[in-house]
Amino acid sequence: MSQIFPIDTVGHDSDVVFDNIGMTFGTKTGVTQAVANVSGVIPEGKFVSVIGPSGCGKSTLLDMVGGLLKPTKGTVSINGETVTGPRRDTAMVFQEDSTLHWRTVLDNVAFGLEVKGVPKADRYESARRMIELVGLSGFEDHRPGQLSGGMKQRVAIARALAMEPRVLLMDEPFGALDQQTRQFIGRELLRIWEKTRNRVLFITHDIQEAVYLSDEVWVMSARPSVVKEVVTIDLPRPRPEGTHTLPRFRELEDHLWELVKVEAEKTLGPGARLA
Amino acid sequence: MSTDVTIPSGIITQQSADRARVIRDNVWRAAVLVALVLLWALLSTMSDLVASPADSLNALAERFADGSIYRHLNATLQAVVIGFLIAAAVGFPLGYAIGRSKFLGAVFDPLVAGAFAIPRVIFFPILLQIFGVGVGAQSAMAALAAVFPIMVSTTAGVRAINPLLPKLARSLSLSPLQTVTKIYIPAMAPSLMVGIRIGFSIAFINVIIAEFFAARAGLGLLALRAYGMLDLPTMYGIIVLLAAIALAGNLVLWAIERRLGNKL
Amino acid sequence: MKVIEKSPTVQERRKAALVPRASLVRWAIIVAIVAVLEFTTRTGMVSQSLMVPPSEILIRLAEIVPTDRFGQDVARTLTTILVSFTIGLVLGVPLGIFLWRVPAAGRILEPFIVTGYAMPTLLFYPVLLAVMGLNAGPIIVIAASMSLIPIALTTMVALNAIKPILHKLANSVSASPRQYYLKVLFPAATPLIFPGVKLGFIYAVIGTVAMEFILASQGVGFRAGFYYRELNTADMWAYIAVVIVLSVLVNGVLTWLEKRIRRDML
Repeated sequence: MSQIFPIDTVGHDSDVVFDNIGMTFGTKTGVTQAVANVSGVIPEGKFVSVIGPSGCGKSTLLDMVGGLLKPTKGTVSINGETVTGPRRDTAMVFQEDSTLHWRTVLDNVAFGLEVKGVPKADRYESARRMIELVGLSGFEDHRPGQLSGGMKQRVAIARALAMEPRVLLMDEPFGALDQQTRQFIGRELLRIWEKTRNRVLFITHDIQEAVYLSDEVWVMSARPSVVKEVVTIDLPRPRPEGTHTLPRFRELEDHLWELVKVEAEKTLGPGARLA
Repeated sequence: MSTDVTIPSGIITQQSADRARVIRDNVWRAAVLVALVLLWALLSTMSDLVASPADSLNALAERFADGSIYRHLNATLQAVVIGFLIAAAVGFPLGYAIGRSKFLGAVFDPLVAGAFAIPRVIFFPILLQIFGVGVGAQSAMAALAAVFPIMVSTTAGVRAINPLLPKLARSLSLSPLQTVTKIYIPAMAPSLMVGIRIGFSIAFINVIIAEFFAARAGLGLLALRAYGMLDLPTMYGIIVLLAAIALAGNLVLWAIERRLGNKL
Repeated sequence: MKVIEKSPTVQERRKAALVPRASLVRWAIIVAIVAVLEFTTRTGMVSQSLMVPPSEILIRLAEIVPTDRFGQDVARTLTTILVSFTIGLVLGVPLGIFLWRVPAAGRILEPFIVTGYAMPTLLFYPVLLAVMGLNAGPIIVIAASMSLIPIALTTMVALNAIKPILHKLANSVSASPRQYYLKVLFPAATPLIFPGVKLGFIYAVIGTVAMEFILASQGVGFRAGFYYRELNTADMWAYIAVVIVLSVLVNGVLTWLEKRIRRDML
């Protein structure tokens, strides 16, 4: 049912490849190894989720692909090029609200393109397309202050998509939303993704969300972290409502739950219970 | 990312690192002070209008030695303290009431803001007519000047209180007095201290300004007289004394603020 | 997909109802105060050497306002305020940025700034007078130094308060430092800086009028002090009224601007 580590690290040229990366932070008290050794490939057109106990370096992994952090060991490469800084072909969506409150929805979505230097008419055209895609048509001239949390996250997703990234990096994008909004916007994301088919690296701590959205789920161990197991989600796409109730969905969910529980107990100490 | 690494030994290193930083900061502050004095000395060599630091401090010391300054020092400090106490006695309760009640807030916010924007010193002639020339008028001036900043920061402090705290007080059925003393005042302590600090500063400035306009005694009057007699060293000496008072007052209030902050 | 806008909450509606009633009460209070002043001064309960009836102040104002001298005084005062404020802004914002970029400088300089805040800067007036002459220069220097401090401090606090996520966002789209400052940092900080700018303007008004009151030979602040010395209570009050109206107007305009600027910050 799942592929056991080590996995095939020889990807295609156009893939996102983690090659033996590690991350060590210098702190006041000494040195902390956040990520020990991670290798993996995000193949073209795949949706990959990463789950693991809190503090296991999931976000670190994502920031390294986004070029915001440099691994202290190994390399991340996209399209055969080593990532050395933020790239034009990656786009990020964060957990926190990252909309710019003084800009309209349209100008928020166009922000990434504006920074790239795309002419106004062109960037508005793609921004409007993305706004339609994420279901915010009619809100182009609203400001973030007038939107709900879920709508703001959709603005952030549209902004990322407008940059037509090879790789979409999402760091618990629905983490701050309530459960209902979260499920709803998850379905929306899947609908959008079916159309764009970018590579997605999706960080979450919600196992159900990971199973529902992904082609592969990487389970990370406690710190210093490695990819403990890569679970292939072999549920058919498209995944309509009710996918959650399939027996196979439950199986995958239970399996991931077992894997995560072991790691979480390591972090929280013996006898720790998960809510 | 590095923040979630806190092991006990780390806290100790952190503390000693903080202490080292405080010492380093103080060394720097001393250096800035020395630089300012040197700049002053340099200016004094370049212009007749600037007395040298040494002359100024000597002139000040002389005033202390012959005892002639105490009358003025007393008058100024008295006016600041009395004025500040009146401002506090009026400003804190009113600011609190305006902050607690939505309706009072809606009524008085624009009035207080408007009054805050008026240069209160313009009313000094009227105070002179009511209280006569003397410490009374100066104290009233200080009170009038300091009361609005104190009100504004108290109101802001009440409004910034976590709305769960009053709920907590109700759930524990605290009496109104207990709610104020056990919940509101501790929760507001930081903004109360800000109000006190600004109130003190403004009271001080306004007393000196008022003394410039009309007074029987006071450091402002003394400085003006020294200037009139072209006794520049005394004038600069008084400026140094005023800076020292402003600094000392703020340092004391700051120390209280820190202590409160640590406790909370 | 249809997203329905949240309807205003009960609380918001109650607040909306509160506002007109509150302003009614506020105006009632103001009218009552004026009426009491009118009554007490007319009946002699308050000596006319202390205060003249508000109606008489209005009559005096009607006579004073059209005069050339009044125009010159107001022009002088307004120019001094504007120049002082502009200097405060132009120096205060970069100082605030510096204190933010170099936190150690902020920590080290804090006692000096706080002391400067409590310093009666007017004591330097005689020196400035000798250097710059009997013109608006010394007043501008003092009022500008008063205006600068709140602007610098609020700028520092505002920049510190900007969510780190915005920095991360700018980084992730490879914004240049220039783009980061112009497209992210300043727009994000402006609503937070504005209260400090407002305070800076109010301090420029207070500093200018106070200095004129004590030391100048022109300007509305000077006139109020001048008529006190002349024992001309009616004209003194007329100029006090001018100062009050000026300050309240300035405050009103700034408050309105503040609301506009902070509007999209819900």
